[in-house]
Amino acid sequence: MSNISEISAILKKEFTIEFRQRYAISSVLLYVVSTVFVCYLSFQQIINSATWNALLWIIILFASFNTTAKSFWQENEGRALYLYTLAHPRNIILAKIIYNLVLLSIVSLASFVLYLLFMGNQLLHEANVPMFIVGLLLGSTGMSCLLTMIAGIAYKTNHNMGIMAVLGFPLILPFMLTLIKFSKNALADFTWSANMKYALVLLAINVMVVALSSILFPYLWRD
Amino acid sequence: MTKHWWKALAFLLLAYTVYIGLGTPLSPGVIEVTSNSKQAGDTVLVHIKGYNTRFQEAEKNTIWLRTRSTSKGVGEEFKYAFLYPFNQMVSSNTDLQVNVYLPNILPGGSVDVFVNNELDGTILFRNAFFIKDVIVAPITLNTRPKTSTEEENYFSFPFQTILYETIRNLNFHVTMWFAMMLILFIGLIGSIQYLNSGKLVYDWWAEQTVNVGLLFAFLGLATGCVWAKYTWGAWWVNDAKLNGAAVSTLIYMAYKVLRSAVSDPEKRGRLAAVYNIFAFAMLLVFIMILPRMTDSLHPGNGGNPAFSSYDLDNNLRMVFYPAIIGWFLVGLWICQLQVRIKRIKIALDEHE
Repeated sequence: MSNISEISAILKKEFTIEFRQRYAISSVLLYVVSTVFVCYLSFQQIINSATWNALLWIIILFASFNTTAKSFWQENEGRALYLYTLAHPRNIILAKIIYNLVLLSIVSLASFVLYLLFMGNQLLHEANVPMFIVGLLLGSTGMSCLLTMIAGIAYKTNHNMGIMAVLGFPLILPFMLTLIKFSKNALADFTWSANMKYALVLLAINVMVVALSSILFPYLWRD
Repeated sequence: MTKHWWKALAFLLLAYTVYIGLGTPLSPGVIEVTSNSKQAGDTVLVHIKGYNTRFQEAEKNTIWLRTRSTSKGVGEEFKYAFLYPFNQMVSSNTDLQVNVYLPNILPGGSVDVFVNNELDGTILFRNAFFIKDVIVAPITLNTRPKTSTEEENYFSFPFQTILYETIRNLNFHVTMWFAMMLILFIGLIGSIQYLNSGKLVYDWWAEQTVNVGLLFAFLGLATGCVWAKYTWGAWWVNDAKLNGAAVSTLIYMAYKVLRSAVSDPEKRGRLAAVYNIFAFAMLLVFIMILPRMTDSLHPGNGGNPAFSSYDLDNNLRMVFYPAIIGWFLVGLWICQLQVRIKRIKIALDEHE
């Protein structure tokens, strides 16, 4: 059971640092608030559900790039080496994925609430709201799985943000397109059985990415 | 020679593909049917325009028009009416004019035109025109005429409405994408081997397969654009399969950016290998899984049958599979040459 204790120890360290500094979460929340406010000033209100949905996901996508890009920011050379001696790399990436998953779930739910406050909620009257929220959580899971690994690659190249965007956007597109379709169906009040195939594809991509990450991260981490 | 046979094979296969793929004629078919009137009760003049047909050389052309009921009751058969024209005028091998009387009462209003002769066999042109003011009733009229079933067989590609001559692009466009997938799969194996062994030669192979894969992807996009222009009417349409192909190309261009961002060869190889494995997995998701879930114009997706199910006939197959092998072998050859150049460059650097 050393794997689980290692993961929980790294998670504890991450959350303690985050709780003391509140850097990642506060900066990304501020980012979300200002983006939604800019959208509110330029759109006022969106009646078309496709546009409403796409704009929300674009805001969340950029917010998650911002959040996950900081996954490794505190691991300078010395600390990375120290961490390498303490824990198996697979556990490190799994812990980082779980940490990002928690952060991104908070960020996407917060974006959703803020978006509703500013852009109006009349589109939700005819929507399957629980399904939409499941979509948000599935989206946060997928983005944290994929983008944490991309952040790991970008961290190793030392040009963090630029490389992160170049590598991340094309790779996350298949996931995003399925996700947007899923939540568009949720807005159109589809039943679960009608929308299940998209949820299954999202889950399958997540499982595949987590499996690949845990196999490949050890190669990335050793220097 | 025993070492180089596959390069000769690649050359021969591609020469064969280009020669047979571009040189084979299409089977005879009808391009267009026009009539001076479509009014029920009239005797109309119908002009049939053929393609690769031999109306004049044939001894006897038999022409008939058919309408069919669009719905049927439980336990009933469809009702057919056959109309026989008169005053046949053949002005050239591809032009035929007939007079035909359109009755007032028919089982359906949509007319299919048949042309039969002993050289071209039987040619069908569906939904040539719709008869105006026809009274639709479940009646039958006449029977299908007796015709010669013999036709002169020669090696040809199938005649498909809308596609016409562009059908031969199948041997270039589709085979290039197949070859790209095979080459990138070799790259995936190279990346896995590099991570396992750490030998730089595997990394060079992975790098070159991505270069060649991108080359095939651009060629595939270009041939696809030309095909789309002549069949769908636009160079690019917003379609799941097309967008998937474009984004997959972006994914592999990002691979090249990643390589250029790291200078240490060992580290560059490791990062690139990790990304390459991810990229291949996403490529599979993007061009094999997602297009099958949405509506798509592209054959093989969203309920559209792929070519193989109805018109990848044996003649097309005889070019299709050799072409895939040919492109693949040429791709490997390019990779091998590039890897050798790289090896020589590094040896020269060390020498200095």
